[in-house]
Amino acid sequence: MAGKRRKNMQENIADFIPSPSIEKEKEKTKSRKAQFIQGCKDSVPICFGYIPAAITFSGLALSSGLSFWQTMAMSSLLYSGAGQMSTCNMLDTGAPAVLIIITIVILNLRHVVMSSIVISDNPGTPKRRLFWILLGLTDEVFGLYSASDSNRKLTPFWLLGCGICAWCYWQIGTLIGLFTLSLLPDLVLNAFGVSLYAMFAALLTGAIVKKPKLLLSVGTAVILNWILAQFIDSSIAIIASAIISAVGASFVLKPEDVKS
Amino acid sequence: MNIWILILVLATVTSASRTLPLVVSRKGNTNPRVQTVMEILPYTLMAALVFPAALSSVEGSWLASVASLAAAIILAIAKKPLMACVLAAVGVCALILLFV
Repeated sequence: MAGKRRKNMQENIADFIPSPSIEKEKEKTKSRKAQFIQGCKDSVPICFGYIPAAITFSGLALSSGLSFWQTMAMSSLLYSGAGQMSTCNMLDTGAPAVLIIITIVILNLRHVVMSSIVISDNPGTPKRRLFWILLGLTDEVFGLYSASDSNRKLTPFWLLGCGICAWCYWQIGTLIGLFTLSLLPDLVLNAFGVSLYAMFAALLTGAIVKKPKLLLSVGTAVILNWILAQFIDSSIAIIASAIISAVGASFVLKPEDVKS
Repeated sequence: MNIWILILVLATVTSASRTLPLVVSRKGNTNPRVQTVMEILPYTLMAALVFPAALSSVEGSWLASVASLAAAIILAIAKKPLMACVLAAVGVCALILLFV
């Protein structure tokens, strides 16, 4: 890490040669630091959403029999609420690994969209730095980033600060959940089994209220899933009906109808 | 052991989807059909994951399953924050399991 920073500084100093570079360099790193710290400060509202969400995830993980380290590994490496909770749920219902992976890939599609936007906003940023920013780019960080008013220029260092803090909130929430919820009786822990469904139902409801045309494709997916599940394995039915109805809907709907 | 491998694969897949646009293209896909499918697919997948499985999510209590789902949907219509919807659903479910 230290070596990397030294290398960065050398590059920056090289940028400023032959002007009297030391003063400017100081100023530049200071403002980068300030941007980073601003990102950390701006990230605070995220913790109100993340800590309860991560606690809920640990409840679901405990109720589906994952160990402490497996749960922590998921939170730190997957770092995706919907992805982690779907994985627990599908492990619980005994879905084959391949289907879990396909489900996660589809749920991750929105990351591709968000990352593309951040990349095109920051054309001069080195790829190595963007890589770390994108790893920490969640719905909430991206939400703060795109909601901030356009007068305030949000820099890559702001994103880095905000992203690192958000990741920490997620880990803290998972730890709190693991330590407190394991004290609960099994009967109450079972209640966390509904959390994934509740989250998806709430997300869907919110999306449909905002973009009513989604109802058509969502309704098709539900009906198709119910029919297919009578004949084929239920997790294959889920993925097949989701893909068929999304592709079908793309013949009827335009991107503007569904753009978030 | 198997779960560990699965977690590592999923972590790789998730990180890849976040960083893929760095490698593939700096502009993103501009085909409108592909864009529409990419926007809709997560929603249709969520819908198929929820229904009908959610109606029998709690073993032995259809009431707990349905009531918790209804709580989440009603709060979402009332535009409450996402986690409020989820925690209300978990709370409703726990209460029904304990007292009904």
